[in-house]
Amino acid sequence: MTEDKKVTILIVEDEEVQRKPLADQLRDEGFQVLTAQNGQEGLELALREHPDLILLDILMPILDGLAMMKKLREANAWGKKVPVILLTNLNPDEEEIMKAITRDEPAYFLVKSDITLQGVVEKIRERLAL
Amino acid sequence: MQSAPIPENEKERLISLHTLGLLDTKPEDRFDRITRTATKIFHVPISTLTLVDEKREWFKSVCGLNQKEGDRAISFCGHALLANEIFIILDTKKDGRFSDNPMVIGKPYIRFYAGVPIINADGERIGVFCIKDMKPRAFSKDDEDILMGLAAWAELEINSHNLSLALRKGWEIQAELKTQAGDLKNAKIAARNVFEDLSIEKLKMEIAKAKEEAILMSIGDGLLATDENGRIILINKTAEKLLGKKSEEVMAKVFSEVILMEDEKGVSIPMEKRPISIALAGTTTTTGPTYYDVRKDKTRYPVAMMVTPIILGGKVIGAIRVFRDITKEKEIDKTKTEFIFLASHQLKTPVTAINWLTERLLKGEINNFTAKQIEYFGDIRATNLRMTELVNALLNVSRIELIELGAFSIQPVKTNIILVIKNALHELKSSFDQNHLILKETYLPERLELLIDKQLFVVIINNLVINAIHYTPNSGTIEVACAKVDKQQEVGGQNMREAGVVISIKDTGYGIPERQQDKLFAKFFRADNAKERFPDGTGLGLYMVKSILDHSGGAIWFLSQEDKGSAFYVFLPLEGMKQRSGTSPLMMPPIGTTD
Repeated sequence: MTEDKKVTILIVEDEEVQRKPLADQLRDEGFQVLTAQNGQEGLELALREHPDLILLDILMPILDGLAMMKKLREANAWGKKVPVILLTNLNPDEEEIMKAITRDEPAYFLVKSDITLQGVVEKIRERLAL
Repeated sequence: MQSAPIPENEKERLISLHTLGLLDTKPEDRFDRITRTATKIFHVPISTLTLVDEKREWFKSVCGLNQKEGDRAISFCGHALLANEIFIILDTKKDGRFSDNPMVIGKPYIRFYAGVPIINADGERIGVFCIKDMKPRAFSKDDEDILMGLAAWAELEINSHNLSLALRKGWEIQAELKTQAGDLKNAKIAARNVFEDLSIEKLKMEIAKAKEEAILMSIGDGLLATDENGRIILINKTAEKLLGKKSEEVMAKVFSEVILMEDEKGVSIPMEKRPISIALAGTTTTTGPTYYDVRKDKTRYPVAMMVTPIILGGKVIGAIRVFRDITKEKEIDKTKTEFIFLASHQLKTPVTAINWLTERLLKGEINNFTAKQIEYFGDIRATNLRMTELVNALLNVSRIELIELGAFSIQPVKTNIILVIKNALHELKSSFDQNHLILKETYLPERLELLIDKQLFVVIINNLVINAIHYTPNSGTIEVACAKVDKQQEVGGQNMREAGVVISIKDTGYGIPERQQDKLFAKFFRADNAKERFPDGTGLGLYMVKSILDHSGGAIWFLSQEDKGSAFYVFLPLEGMKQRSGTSPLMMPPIGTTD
């Protein structure tokens, strides 16, 4: 994997204590990492940089993850297809979440407290078939 | 020969004769004494007391003849019967009426006859007292008097018989009257008692009824009853208050016209879905707060109710709706849901951070630490994992309360359950791989559509499969199968009570100790060997699974042998899961905390 062909991952996460180890882990694993602190920032960054995959938290200030995913899917053809992994501590049984999952088809719904950083990396590789 | 004449009033005479009750009875001494006396007084060979019936002359008493009766037509008595006082033939051979009579020209060669008619108490001529001789003779006025005297004696005996009969009858009637009078008196007393009892009972019943009414009217829950046509026949005070309507506004009116109901979104509940309609069709409905009652002033309140059919003699004769306003419960429920939401996110944020940060610290590349430091980081990480489990357990406890209240909703949708099972297993693939477990899947048929609540169904499958993973040693096998089953078919040691679908999850794991098998579905229960292998389990997973199945019309059972493995069987009927309104959807248990 050469520098310019690095796979880019966008992390949208408001909690720094989580964003930091996640970003570091992904960099260690050879990914290029972009970070955003809320949905609004994340959406702008995504549409501008076209990352290969987006790791998306749900509960965030300004614009939450589900709303960002909806806007992303509606934005353009790229936004419609870019793989999104929801990484959250919410349970996927909330009606709103279930609706969003069915509508916007994220690649995975991962519960943070139940997955290791290495586990997240594996899911990214799995989705991107790396 | 002249036949014996028939009297004009023959019919009445015969009735009276038969009523006397002497015909064809045994000889009696009281009569025989008279005929015997007659023969002795008159020195005649024959004397009879004769009763003349339709065809015969029949001898109630006979002296000097060996026969009991003779033909009326040729009888002398038949003639004497109609005589004024006495009938005398001094010489039969000289009398044209009798000279050729068979009893004159033949046996017993009667030449003399004297008879006196016997008249009974009714005044009817019923017979004759007579003497007969085989030779002609003279008969003086004294003889006539004596014969008539004897006849009067006989008549007296006959009529005394009649009298005694009458007396006996009289006594009987009297006795009967007495009894009847007694009975009547008793009946009268009894009637009075019954009446008094009835009055007391009536009073008691009225008091009881009043009490019942007072109880019904004062019940803290709203109470409404309808007849079989859905017309309101009873509404209590609480119901009036809740609905903001007076009894007189709703009584005898069809419930749907006076009590409006709508769902969360304000859409009117259609007639056929109204719980009272369902009750009138024979089924009891219990609703959670998905229903709202609309008050008279158009405001509304969430209502929890139980509507049951009133059944009398096997027929539905109405419906009862017991209901209450659950605004408060809903608020508490909302707070609780919010707490769970908050807890799940806020408590988990630091826990997750520590988890990931220690994972980073322990990563190979960052190793300027002493062995002791690495050990401590390891301890922090392990402790934090324990903390994660505790947080999850705490959340599960909150959720379990919803289960216990039966407050979760079941919303079945037609779904290909095979696909759902396959997806759930796919999500768990890494767990299978980590533990080097072999997964075998058998689906018959490959596609099976059933009405299920997908979320709850996944909770069931996840819990059972994750348990199998936790409690099966490395290189073990887990078999997941789903098949249609027929009624009476035996599956996992159980005979199916109805046709349906069975999902089985079999492992080659540690099994459940026999002595603890009966407690397996109890809340917080964990088998001894399970605690050993997987200390962090909560003992809530199977409890939750069973609770879901109990509430959705399904069933769960298992077969297990220690150190051989366990097989869990989940049954769902062909019509799928039963729909159920509840306060909230059941939260999915976080992966890894089942038991």
